[in-house]
Amino acid sequence: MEAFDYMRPTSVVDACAALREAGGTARALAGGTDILVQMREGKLRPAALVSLRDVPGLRSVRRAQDGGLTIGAATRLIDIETSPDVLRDHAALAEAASWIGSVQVRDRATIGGNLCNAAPSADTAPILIAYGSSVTISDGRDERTLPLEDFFTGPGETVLEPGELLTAISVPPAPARSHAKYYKTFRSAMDCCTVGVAVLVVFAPDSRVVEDARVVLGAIAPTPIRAPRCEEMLRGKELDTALMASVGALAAEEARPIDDVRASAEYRRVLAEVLTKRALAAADSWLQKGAGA
Amino acid sequence: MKTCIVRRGLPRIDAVPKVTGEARYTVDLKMPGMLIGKILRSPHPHARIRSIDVSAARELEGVLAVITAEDVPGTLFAFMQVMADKHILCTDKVRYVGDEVAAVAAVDDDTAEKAIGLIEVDYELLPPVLSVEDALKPDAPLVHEDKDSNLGFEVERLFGDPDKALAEADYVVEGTYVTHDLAHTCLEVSNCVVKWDKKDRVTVWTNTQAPHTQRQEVARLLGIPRANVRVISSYMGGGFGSKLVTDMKAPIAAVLSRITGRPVRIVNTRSEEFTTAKTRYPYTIHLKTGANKDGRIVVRDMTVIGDNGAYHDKGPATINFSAMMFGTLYNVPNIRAVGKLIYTNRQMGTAFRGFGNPQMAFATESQLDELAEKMGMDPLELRLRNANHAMETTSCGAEVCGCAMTECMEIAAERIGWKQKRNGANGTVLRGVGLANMVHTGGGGRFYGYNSTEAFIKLSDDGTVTLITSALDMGQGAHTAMAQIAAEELGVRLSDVIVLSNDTDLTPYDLGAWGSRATFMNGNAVFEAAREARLALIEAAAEMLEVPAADILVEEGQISVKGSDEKHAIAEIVDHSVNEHGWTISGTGRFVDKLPEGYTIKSAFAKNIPCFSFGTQAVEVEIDAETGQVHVLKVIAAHETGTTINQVMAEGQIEGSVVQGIGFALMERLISEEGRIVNDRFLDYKIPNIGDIPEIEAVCVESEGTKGPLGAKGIGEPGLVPTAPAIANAIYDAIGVRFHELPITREEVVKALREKRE
Ligand SMILES: Cc1cc2nc3c(=O)[nH]c(=O)nc-3n(C[C@H](O)[C@H](O)[C@H](O)COP(=O)(O)OP(=O)(O)OC[C@H]3O[C@@H](n4cnc5c(N)ncnc54)[C@H](O)[C@@H]3O)c2cc1C
Repeated sequence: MEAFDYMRPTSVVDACAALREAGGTARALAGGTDILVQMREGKLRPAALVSLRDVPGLRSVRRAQDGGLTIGAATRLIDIETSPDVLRDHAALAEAASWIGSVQVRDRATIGGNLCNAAPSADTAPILIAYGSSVTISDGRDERTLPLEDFFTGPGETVLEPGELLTAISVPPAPARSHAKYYKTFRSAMDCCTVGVAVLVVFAPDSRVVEDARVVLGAIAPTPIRAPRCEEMLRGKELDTALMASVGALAAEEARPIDDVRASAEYRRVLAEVLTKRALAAADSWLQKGAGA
Repeated sequence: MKTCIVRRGLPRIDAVPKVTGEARYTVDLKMPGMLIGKILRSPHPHARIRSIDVSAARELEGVLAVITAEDVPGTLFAFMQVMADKHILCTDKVRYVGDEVAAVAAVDDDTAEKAIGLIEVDYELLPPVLSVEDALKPDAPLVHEDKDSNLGFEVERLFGDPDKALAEADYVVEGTYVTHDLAHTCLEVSNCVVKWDKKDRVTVWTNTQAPHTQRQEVARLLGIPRANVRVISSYMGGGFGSKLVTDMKAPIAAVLSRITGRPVRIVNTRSEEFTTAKTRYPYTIHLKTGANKDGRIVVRDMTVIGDNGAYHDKGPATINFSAMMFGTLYNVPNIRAVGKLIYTNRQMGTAFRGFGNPQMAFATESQLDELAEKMGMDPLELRLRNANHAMETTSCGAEVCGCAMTECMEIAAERIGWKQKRNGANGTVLRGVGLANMVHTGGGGRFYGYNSTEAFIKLSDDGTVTLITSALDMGQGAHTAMAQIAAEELGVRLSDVIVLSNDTDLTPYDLGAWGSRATFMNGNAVFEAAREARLALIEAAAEMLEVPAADILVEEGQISVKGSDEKHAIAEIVDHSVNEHGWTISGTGRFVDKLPEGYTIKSAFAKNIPCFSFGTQAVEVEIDAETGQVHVLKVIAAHETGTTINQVMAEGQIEGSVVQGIGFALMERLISEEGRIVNDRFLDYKIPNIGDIPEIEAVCVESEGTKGPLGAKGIGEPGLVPTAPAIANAIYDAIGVRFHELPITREEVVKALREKRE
């Protein structure tokens, strides 16, 4: 690993200034579970690391009156997984976080790091997008907010400009009669996902009809992607086995997978289909069991 | 047998230092003035070296030496010198991605790394041969141009008349089975520190499984007298066969140390470990098995084509050993075993827990299930009818001593619920059970033309027992086992024993830790040493207490006299003996495994094995038909141990082997693209971890009739041998698909299920 500068600013303003001053190759350091590995492998050679450790306000989960969540970017995954506020209406997010790495990894890894690292396989991204989350970005002077699904621009790439920090993730309240589920498959336990699928289904009052749905596919395209045709197909229809199968098949079509050492593109399509079907089946069985009541 | 110290699950003697982190491994070693060595490795699978420019690297500040082939002895080396084919640093050609081309020594890691980057090599690319099939084509490029073809080694063994037997058998099944290359994935990567001192003595601190043979190899590589080489090992983070044959780090570090006058350390990166620390030999096995209506197997005929990689290592021995186990597993009158090793431009293979036996067992034990199906017979029944029994000699000359094969099968079948669960009888279509047998050596082999070792014991006047043994502890617990054997025979407590080992200047010559031999071989020598020391102790006690020696009892660190309540601490006796008379108390143990009548290395075949160990594993699997995921639910692993020296450690060896067996069967694989390994890290080289590991019930089946210490046999490797075929057989039971190739990945299962549906 090559020598680099290390800074520990105590405010967002200073952190952004430090990132800007150190030039294009400075990076924020949160839990370090992605960036330090990449540096050791020689894939990344930042001139400086700006630690977020002493920056206040980045490490918390807040639940608003309406049930929406504001999550500080440097909140550790272990805190998300165990947060009563997250577990209350957004259990699928807590579950997705709980499937990342090992407990040792989650004890350091942050949600902001997971998103900013922008791996196509990042496990918190699909479920956050399914919930309709947005992200807040600061350059130390101004803030901007945008939907999470517009945050990713490619593998390892985001809209973040040099000198910008992700500060918070806002998760809207879970709609009434909605069910969210994230499924991932792995080659062995404690593996980054081969394919991940998050599905949010909102049921119409007193029926099995899908009022609205979001289907998000991970590790199957350069960024996590929505599957709009799947969502369209679901809307206004009764969620039965035949519909689940058709939507699953469509998910396989909407996927844009590649062959790599983890799986073939063809197999990734199979997984997209199966996981989409299973996430829909989970929503259905939740409904049958009394919609969480 | 009444025992006090063995046959119990006593805590390992190194448990506390290991658990607290106090234990220092070779990879932790730091020395004053130590330099960091790094190796420039070939990025190409096959290329000619036109020129190497090291000038920029030499000029870099902090670099103390840069070497190429010109600076090192020109020795050609291989484990077996008659097959020598590898230079310390490549001279004119590189033969795989990772081949050693040049090396540097610098003040720190970063400088060494930077210096490596400054070396410029002009390569002329040559067409590589990346598979056995390509290597065997008539116009294939030659990996070694001084040879006529890429055939590296060939052997044929014949017992009975297999052709006739195949023609006459009532049933014959035939198939081809393919296994793949796997990494050993030791937690401690291969590493060394070497110091070439002013008296021209070369000390090598390294994590080797065989210090004495490494000493000979380093001397051979450097062209210096053996007397000038000393090898020291330490606590060790796993070996599994990868650390038997010296790799080029030690001679390279030695030369760098000679030039700089300072100790030089070279440690594999994890990527180097995956790409250059050698693999399990991939086998392609063509196999025929014939049986008669009465359920007797009458003929087995196997041709193994092994991928040797770019250079010779343990390949010939691996092929030979697979053939011996092939000939021995069942007592079959007609046997043919043909083996060929083919050079390719790939990372070379080496020994790997099981030594060719896991590959072979995957083929033979899968095929037995296919045969049973053809015969309309229960696969367990077929195996029971052909089981070996104690004190028999098989057609290929294997002398089966103690043998619990039938018992192992019965235990495994009973505990997995064979009768209830077989053929989906439990109602869940996608669950299945399968089993497989194995035989392995339980005591190394006579492959060097001998199999022997020594041990020494001395008692200090404070009662401490110092045991000097060459038994090498690479994490398997050999030192604890040796201490237990010594304590048992000597009559002391385990905590009284100190084990000294791992320094060739101190320990007697020994062949190393391989072939499940430490317990059997070193254990026998330790037992003898303890016996001699015990006799000396009794003599001293008799003198001091003025009673006949026959009346002296030694137990749990105390001496007593028959018919009296009097008890004396051993310390008291030794103190008296040493300080009153100057009589020191010690014992020498030598174990020479007696060669059978008419033994010659050439003809010996299965007579090379001093002791066989049988075992059976039964497995239950569940398959997700949509994702293809195979979940191993349960493994019963019943293995013969003769006498179990340490219950917990023996179970640990079996469990660890099963885990590696699951990895072999379902997930582990080195993936190459154009000769380059692309999954050279744990992110993409998947080994089973705690979430993947099922309930494993390790059963140590004791048996009599073994010449091991207190009747013990080795248990280091057997547990890995039958796991893959047992899983493959269980998968067949669950979904009716027979896999002939490993690993059986999720993708392969999905593909096979789709094909079956169509
Ligand atoms: C053994 C192991 C297993 C893993 N398993 C999984 C898994 O199953 N699923 C999964 O998705 N991931 C997995 N990971 C990857 C990693 O742990 C996660 O992506 C984690 O959430 C990263 O968070 P971090 O805080 O450690 O990020 P860091 O490594 O600190 O940072 C990652 C990147 O984000 C940038 N960054 C961090 N915070 C900010 C911010 N607030 N603003 C701007 N940029 C920022 C950094 O500069 C860096 O480029 C695993 C990693 C390991 C080592």
